[in-house]
This record gives sequence, structure tokens and C-alpha cells, in this order.
Amino acid sequence: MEVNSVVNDVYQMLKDDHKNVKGLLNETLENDDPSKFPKIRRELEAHMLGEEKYLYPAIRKDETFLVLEGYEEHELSKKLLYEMDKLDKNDEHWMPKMKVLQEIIEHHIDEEENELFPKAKEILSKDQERHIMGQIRREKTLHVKSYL
Amino acid sequence: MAGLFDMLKEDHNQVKGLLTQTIENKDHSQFSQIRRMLEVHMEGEEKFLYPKIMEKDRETALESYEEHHVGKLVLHELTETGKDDEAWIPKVKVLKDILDHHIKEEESEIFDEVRQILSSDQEQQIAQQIEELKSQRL
Repeated sequence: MEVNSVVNDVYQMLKDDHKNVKGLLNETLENDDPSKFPKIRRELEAHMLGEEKYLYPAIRKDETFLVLEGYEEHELSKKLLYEMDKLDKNDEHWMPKMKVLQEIIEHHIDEEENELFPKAKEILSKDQERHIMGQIRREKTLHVKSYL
Repeated sequence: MAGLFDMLKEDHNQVKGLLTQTIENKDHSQFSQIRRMLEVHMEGEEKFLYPKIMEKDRETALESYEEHHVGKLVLHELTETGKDDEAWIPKVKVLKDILDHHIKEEESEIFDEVRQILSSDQEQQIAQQIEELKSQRL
């Protein structure tokens, strides 16, 4: 990650991840090309892990329902990622699975950006937000490195 | 007997209502009914309706099968998770979101598409097959 591109807001950082993954999912489906799948899986897993370890626990007490819903949407996405990993990329079920993954993720992103992040902003102090951002960023670096 | 698509829409409305009640009242007592209805509805569509769609629009049919598959994954989790687990109702919300989306796709696009493929005799036959399946299982 280049220093210049580092954002200073945890929500903006997570929204950038969202945008990036949405783009990759779109490309995959539009071009009928599974080649970006390992990258999509890596990015999604690192992003979900960061949220689950640091953001969700920090707001779970105040926003229990939204957070538990978030965990469940992650869980389903992981199940689909696992199935897609095991399945032959040429299998005719592969792209339809990708389409369903895209729908689940877009729905999840909408809920996070429009409901969960605004709530988190009310709950967390600036210091907490900065701290969580640092933790997520470190986690991501470790996770992405573990694939190299 | 009601037409095929009216019958399927009726199922959709009924399940949507039960899911909404479950979430609003945080009441899990109707879950076994929801699961049974959903399973039979999905089986009926998969056995009798989707194969017809496969012949004309494979991509759409395969996506529908996958959406059912994801619905079944959540139903399975709900069966395995204790009803008093605090994650149980949020999981029902996720199931509802998935089904709402799937139902919207079926009712606003797929059913219209199928109507153009099937003759009224075929529609009637499929409706009958699904009714029979329901009376055996429910």
C-alpha cells in the first residue's frame, strides 16, 4: 500500500474495499472470466476478518441485531467462496454462484454503508475509530502476506 | 384450481408473512411450518418448473437453483442453531432478505418469461404436479 493512498477514516477505508470488490465481481460476471477469483477471495476474506475482529465487537453491545446480521452475511459469503473454490471454474454452476455471491455482498454493503457505519459513528470515539483502523490495516497486511 | 403463477405467488406471500411475523415478534414458534412450506415450494419449482426454464434460459434457471441452495443453507443453520441463541432471529432476517430478492426476481421477470414458453396445458400440468407434491408432504 502506498503511503499517499492511505485514508484517515476507518469507514472510508472500508468503503474503498467495498468499491474495489464490487468492481472485481462485476468484471468477473460481465466478462465471464473467473481468473480474478483468487484475488476476490483473498480481499474479501481479509476485509471480513478485519471487520469481524475489530469493528463488529466494538459496537456489538449497542447494535446487536445489525452486527449479528453482518456476521451471518459474512458466513454465507464464506460458504459460497468455499464452494466456488472447490468447484471446477468451467462448471456451468460456477458463474451463477458468483452472481448470487455478488447479490449477497451488494446487499450486505448497502446495509453496512447506510445503517451500520452511521450507527458506529455515533457509538465510537475518534480515538477508537483510529485504533480500529490501525488494527484492521495490520490484520489485512498479515492476511494478504500469508497468501504470498 | 388456481393458475400456476397465482399459486406460486400465494406461497411467496404466505412465507413472507410468516418470516415478517417471526422477526417482528421475535417468535420462533412458526419456524417448522416455514421450513416445511419453503422446502416443498422449492422442491416443486425445482422438479417441475425450473427444468422447463433450463430448456430456454439456462443461465436464469441455474441462478434460481443457486438462490434456493443459499436459502437451504440458512434453513439448515437455523435448524442447527438453538432457538434461544441471540443470532437466531438475525439469521431469519438474512433468510428473509435473500428470499425477498429471489421472489422479486421470479415475480417481476422469470414468471413472465416462462409464461411465454409454456402452453396453458403445460402450465396446468405443472400446477397439478406441484399441488400433488404439496398434498403428499404437507
